[in-house]
Amino acid sequence: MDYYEVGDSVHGYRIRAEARKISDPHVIAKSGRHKAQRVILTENAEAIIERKLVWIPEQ
Amino acid sequence: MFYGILDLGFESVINLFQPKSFLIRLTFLKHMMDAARSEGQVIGSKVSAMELEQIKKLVASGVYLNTSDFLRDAVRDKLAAIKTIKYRDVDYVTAKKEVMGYFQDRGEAYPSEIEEDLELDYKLICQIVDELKREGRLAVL
Repeated sequence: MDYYEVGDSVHGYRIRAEARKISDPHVIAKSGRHKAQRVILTENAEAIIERKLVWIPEQ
Repeated sequence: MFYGILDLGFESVINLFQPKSFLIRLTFLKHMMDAARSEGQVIGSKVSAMELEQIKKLVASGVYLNTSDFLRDAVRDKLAAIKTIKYRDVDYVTAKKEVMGYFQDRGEAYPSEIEEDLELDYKLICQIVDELKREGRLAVL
């Protein structure tokens, strides 16, 4: 599924993103527990949610 | 030679003038010889007056030896921060074998880790991972 509209958002534990330009991280401190860092990707920005994959050995 | 001496850092220069031990002097001489062997290149770059003023303030406060020292440190930091991933041109079958080998070796991994370690295109890895999931050889943790 690809999303292109303004306001579309991606949420995940781990997101792989790429773009032509990436800003330096800025710390966002909303409350004591809610701390995050924000980066802005510009030009051909793309992001995808990743999950860790496990190898299943043949029985 | 001038650049080499600056590369040694402030502490080494101070040590030269303190007769602590002969060993320190020998170490300094070795550093100087190494620096002389690796000749640097001079590059020119224009910076704004405000930026230059900020650099001069840092130099005056003793954080850096001089403007060149600041610029060298900035270049080193930038080069260390940017890691280039060059994708190898590998066909699907070979790439699949490599990805399977990677998982057999490591047990678990994120696709972006495979991308970085095997230098394979991320979309190709996603295709392979999807196929391996369909075949029942991979599962999401």
